Amino acid sequence: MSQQATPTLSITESVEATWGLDRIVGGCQNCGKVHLVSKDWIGKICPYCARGKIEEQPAPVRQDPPELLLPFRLGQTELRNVYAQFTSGVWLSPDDFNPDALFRRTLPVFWPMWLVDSDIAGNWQAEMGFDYQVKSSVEAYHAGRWVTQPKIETRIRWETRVGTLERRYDNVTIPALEDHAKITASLGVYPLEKTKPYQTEDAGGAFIRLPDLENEDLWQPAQKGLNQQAEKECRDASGAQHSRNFSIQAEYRDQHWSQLLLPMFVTYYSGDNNEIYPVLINGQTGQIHGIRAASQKKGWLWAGISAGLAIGLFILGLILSAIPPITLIGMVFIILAFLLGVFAILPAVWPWQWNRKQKQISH
Amino acid sequence: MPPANPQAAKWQPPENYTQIPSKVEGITVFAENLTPPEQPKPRSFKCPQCGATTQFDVAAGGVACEHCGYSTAVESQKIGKQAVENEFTLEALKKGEQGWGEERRLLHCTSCGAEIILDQKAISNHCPFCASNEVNLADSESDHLRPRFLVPFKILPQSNQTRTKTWLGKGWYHPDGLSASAIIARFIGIYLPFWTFDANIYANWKAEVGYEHTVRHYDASSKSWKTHTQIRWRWETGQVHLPIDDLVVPASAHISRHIFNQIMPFNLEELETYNPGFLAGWQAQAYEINLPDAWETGKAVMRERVKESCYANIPTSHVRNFSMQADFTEESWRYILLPLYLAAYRYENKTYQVMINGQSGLIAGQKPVAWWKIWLAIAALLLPGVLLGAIGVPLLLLGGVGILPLLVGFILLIVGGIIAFILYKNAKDSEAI
Repeated sequence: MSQQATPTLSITESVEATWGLDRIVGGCQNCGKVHLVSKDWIGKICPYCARGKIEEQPAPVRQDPPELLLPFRLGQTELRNVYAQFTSGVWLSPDDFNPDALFRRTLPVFWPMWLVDSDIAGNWQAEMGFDYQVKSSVEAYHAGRWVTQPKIETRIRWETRVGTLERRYDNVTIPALEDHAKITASLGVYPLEKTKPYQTEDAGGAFIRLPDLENEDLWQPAQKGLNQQAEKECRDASGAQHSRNFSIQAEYRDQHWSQLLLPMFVTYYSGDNNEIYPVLINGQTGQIHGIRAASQKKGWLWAGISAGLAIGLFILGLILSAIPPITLIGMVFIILAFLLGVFAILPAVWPWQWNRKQKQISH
Repeated sequence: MPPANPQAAKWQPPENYTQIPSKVEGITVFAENLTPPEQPKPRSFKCPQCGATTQFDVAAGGVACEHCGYSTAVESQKIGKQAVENEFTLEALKKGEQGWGEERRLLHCTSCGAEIILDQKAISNHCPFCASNEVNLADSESDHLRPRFLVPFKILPQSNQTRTKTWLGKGWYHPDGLSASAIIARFIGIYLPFWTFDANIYANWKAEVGYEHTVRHYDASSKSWKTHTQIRWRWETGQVHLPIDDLVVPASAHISRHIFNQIMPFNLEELETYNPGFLAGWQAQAYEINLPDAWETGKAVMRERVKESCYANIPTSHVRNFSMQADFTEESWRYILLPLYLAAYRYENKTYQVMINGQSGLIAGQKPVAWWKIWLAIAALLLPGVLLGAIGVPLLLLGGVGILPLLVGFILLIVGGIIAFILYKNAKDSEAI
């Protein structure tokens, strides 16, 4: 049994009054992402996809400001270092794939998670695992003598526990974006213990992405998050170290929803045919995610130059080998031409192979 | 904090669950009743028909009254080797469970120091270890583990005298008339404590292994080709897995291991769950050798067995620089009671112990030796070799004919010596405790 009270959203034209920010809602038709942006971004290229334009659009916005915010930790120097490391070691990389271009396009973005507070009252059941230690030994025989080496193994004893629970849990984090799993997989774990109460100045200058998971989409993950919290506390209450098969029959009451904003940087670079490669960076840890593409065009170019040189050397070699005093030099030229011809395959094939591998890693 | 919501208020824990302390406010925790099974309260065995004292009757297989013939089965379950085995937890090694099922007290023998648990009413008894009558009661220790399984008596007490007389009459090097003149004290049926141990042992061995090769060589002295055997050594390694099931180690410090080993084995498929009824009218001893000490003894036996298995793994008998490492896993233990009849008999003012396996009837013990018979036999065994040697030496000095009797004499002396040694060892073992 559960009582749901998912966040109330309302159409608002300005969030200035409530969030303390001079922002409007802007969305990109191409990638579909909706942000709170400053007015001067309207009409500019979307920093996410670099395809569509940011357009003003009405969207449901929660009037209450976010409750918590995790500030950016990475400064300019650290960010440049991250880019330098990211762009190094790619042979035949596109011209646009360099630290300066990535840095120039960098945009700080806060992305949201829902925070839910709730009372839970009900009964629970689980198998609780208790560590215990067992003494064993390894017996070694050498030079007619036995030597005992004791060893202590830790094993788990599983026992059923049942009980009641009446607790309130605050700030249980729930995904607010459809691509939440993708973002967390790309950017890794955020140190949530470093969050602090939302203040307007902390969000200044950054895009603020708006939640796209609302109402009925939220309750199931919220319940799961609250139950996980309950499981942990029931485990602690039982004095156990492990738990499994946890189930709970409970009522969830007095829910309060708010938002948590997490920092990331977005940037991009373009490839051979102006295709866009987005790059995301965790604003706290500096973990970076994106495809490190190689330029196929450059590959063809180097292959062509090598092949041209090989043909030239081959013809020269043929001519020289027809002149008896320098026949040997001609033969050397022909061999060099063959070697260069073989080498010409490498820059043609390598970008294709590299990009294929990068896409696999990225997915 | 009482639950405010109606659902929690209505909720009831399953049967046999009791509330245990919770470490988090607002959460109650109930656990299955894991308190050890209630220890059987002290029980006196009285016949419900005539009021006389009843006791476990081996023939009836239950508690029976000698006076009116009343008999009732002992409630237990034949559990065999499925009897629960315990892990070597640090906790188990440190402390034991408490209590015995029946009202019993510890009997302390002032003569040999043995401790025997008796009915509370008993004030004296024959000590089965030394046949002494001088015994004092002492309070039972409280930290004894409680045995959960036992093998009941199968051998009737009435058959013990005949069995012992027959056994005493066997063997030529014992005193004549031993069977007739030995004064056999009353046999005492006693449940003695034992530990059983299981383990899975994975061993890796390394050794230099020698292989025999036949080599031809030219013998310059005889100017001919001959062959000789040469051993070529090479390092080899191997693995052995040895599961050990129910290694029985006595938990009584006073039992003679030498005699006990001769009445082994016990069929542990006959293990039954413990019931005080099995002990009614019988004696039982609590463990004197604690679990860690007994496990060390058990491990020493297991180590040697796995070492033998490693040697068996080596294809030749030539082995040197042998070393091995045995990893003990899945070790477990049980505390059980096994039935034995103990008696001491006197012969020419000396006391000798006898032990009968209460399940199989196997008998073993100390027997006096008529040493004059042994020395006579040894002399007879060595004499032919000595005589032939004595004949051979002068004949050899006279003209070389003596080589044959000397050779035969030498062989007879060696064979006679070996047989004499075995005979002497057996005689010593017969008296050993």
